[in-house]
Amino acid sequence: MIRAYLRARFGAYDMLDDCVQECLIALHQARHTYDSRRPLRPWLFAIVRHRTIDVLRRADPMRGDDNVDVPAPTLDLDLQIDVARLIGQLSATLRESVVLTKLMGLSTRECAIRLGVSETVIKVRVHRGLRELRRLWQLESP
Amino acid sequence: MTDELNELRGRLLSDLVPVQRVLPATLVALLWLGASVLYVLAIMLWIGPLRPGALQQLMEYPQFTTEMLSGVGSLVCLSVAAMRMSVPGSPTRMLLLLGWTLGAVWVGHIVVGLWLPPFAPSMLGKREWCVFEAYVYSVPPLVWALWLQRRRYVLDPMRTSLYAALAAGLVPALAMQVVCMYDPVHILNFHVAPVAALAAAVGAGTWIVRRLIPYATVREKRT
Repeated sequence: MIRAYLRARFGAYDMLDDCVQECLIALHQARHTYDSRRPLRPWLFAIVRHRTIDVLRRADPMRGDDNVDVPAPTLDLDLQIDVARLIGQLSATLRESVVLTKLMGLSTRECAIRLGVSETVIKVRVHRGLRELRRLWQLESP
Repeated sequence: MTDELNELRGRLLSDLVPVQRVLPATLVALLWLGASVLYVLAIMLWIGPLRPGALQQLMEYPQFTTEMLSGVGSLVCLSVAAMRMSVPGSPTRMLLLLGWTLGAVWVGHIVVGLWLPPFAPSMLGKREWCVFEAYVYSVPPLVWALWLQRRRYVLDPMRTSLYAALAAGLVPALAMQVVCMYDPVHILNFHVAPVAALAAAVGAGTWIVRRLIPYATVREKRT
């Protein structure tokens, strides 16, 4: 259930398993706070949501580097989650290319090798993916 | 492999004991509040007497009665909300809305009292060190509240500790209304301001600790 919840919002991230594991540990640690007279879902997803945010913060490559003094990113965390949720709505092929190049920071060449396609295909997929993201973003914006 | 796995599962399951559920957050909050009020009143009355005529003023002046009732209502709501925040998924929105509204009414009454006081301000019952008392007396309830919250499962430490500090600060602040002198300027400066200062200090402290801990964890993992 947690995996499906996170996958629907974040797509096929590499760190999905880390998130699920962190959530399971958190659920175990918080089990004494669950009141069986109350609904399970708010309790469960409050923990999942907060633990996922913690994992995202920790996984952020721009933070916590010992040797390089890099300023912290200014991207709002809620915005980051929104973007991830929108990425989840892309088709699998477009999502892979966008996540690998724009989120994981791989070059077009590295991404092409990893997915076993040409660099041109990656460029086209990223372009289409970003265009689709823009369309989805505009649809959701008031 | 399957046998080993089954054996492992069997060993794990054989040691299982039922999880002891914590008391409901609302009940704990009310117990905390009752004990904190008793503690603060006891220590205040031990240090010095009640303001002469304070209880009579409470009965005779509706503006003062409303002021006190709104303050007490705000304290109850914020205490319960603070304790509920330590249980994931607990509803707190309405409590916070009510708590802040009543708190605004309480402070609003004091501000209105600058021009239209319920009764003539006086130095009667003045305590020399009331501002320090307001800080010092709120520390034990605050530490206790934070300990109670930590026994549950806090998802947002900064927000949770900030509300605990607000609730703990409000206890002596409201008690001072009937123990110390009544003058709106004095109340705002020496009774209400410590509540805000305490909440800000605790919130900032938690934020700093939270900022430092993730970095420490990352470094630890890398080394």
